[in-house]
Amino acid sequence: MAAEKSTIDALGQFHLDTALGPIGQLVNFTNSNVMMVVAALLVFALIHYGMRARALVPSRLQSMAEMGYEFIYNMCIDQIGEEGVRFFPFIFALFFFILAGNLLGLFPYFFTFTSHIAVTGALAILVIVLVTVVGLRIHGLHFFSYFFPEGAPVALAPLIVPIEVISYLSRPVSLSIRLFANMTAGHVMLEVLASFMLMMAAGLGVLGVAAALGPLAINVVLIGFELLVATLQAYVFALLTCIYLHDAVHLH
Amino acid sequence: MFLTPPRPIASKRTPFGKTTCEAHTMSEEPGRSDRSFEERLQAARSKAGLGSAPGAEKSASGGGLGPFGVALRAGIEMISALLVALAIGYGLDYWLHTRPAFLIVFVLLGGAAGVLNVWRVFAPKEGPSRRPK
Repeated sequence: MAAEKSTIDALGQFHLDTALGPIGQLVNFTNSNVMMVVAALLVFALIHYGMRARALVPSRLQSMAEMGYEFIYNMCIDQIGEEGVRFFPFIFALFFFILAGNLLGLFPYFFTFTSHIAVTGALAILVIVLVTVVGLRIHGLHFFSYFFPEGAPVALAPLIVPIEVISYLSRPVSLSIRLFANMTAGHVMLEVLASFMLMMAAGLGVLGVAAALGPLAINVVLIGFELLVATLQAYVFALLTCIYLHDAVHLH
Repeated sequence: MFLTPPRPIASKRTPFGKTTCEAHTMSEEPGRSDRSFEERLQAARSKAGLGSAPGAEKSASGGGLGPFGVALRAGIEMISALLVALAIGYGLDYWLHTRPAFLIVFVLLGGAAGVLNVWRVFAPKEGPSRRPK
């Protein structure tokens, strides 16, 4: 895509531009924001049109909506417990927003908003603030006993408490880095291999075109792998949110 | 076409699994496509409680991705703890004008927290306590 004169511009695809012409420029509405709106609308459309028929024998669309609903619903109950139903709308929105963003990013010329740590970081901060608020709301100040495991000698408190606090605060960091790193790494790999293809074809003539089939084959496999990663990372993000919520609801 | 009577969506544990299951046994015929089998399998699995729970734990702990996933997961856990500790140490030093003191202490604590994070992820899960504290 972006191989100009034997240089590989692997990170150019993550460049932010303003979209929607002069109006977008005025309010800094970026191509990333466009994809967020598209992702949100897609999820909304899936649920709206999928559930409209209410058929006993579900159509493909209705199956998708129902299986997605049920999948997240069961995950909430399995991971958080019966109280998990209260967090179901949040987890559902989180999972499908990230999933739609990851999958949309795999289309050529589409922007992957989950490849920006500003976006994943904001989502992770949202999660950790929610988890902390839930913990404080349910347990009050007793929530802070979370940072000191039962049965540990009190003399070790000056050591254990800072470590536990750091461990707790590192959750949003690892949550956001995981999603961001996976998406960025995958897209950079695709871009680099695609650049190899163009460079071989341009530099080595007929032989190069034949040789370019190698990177092409790898890229085809990589796209499949990226589909897996996109789904898995959305799932892991939602699952870890559930596990953190479980900890906040049940403390130990 | 059969239209379901309006029912509360989230009333049962597996509200849709039941409906799809009934629907497919009703319209079952020999040699039906894989789709119906997949759905019945899914419904049966979720009814038997074999849904996503065991695989979930596994892939979340990096077990489903092979060595690369494990390495990435562990590395991210350690690095993120260290980053947080660095930020805290640097912030405290900046605030109290004690440049290297808190940084040194918190880098050590951050390393410990990183190891703790990795242990939490990969700890052998046994007994009732799913995630050992």
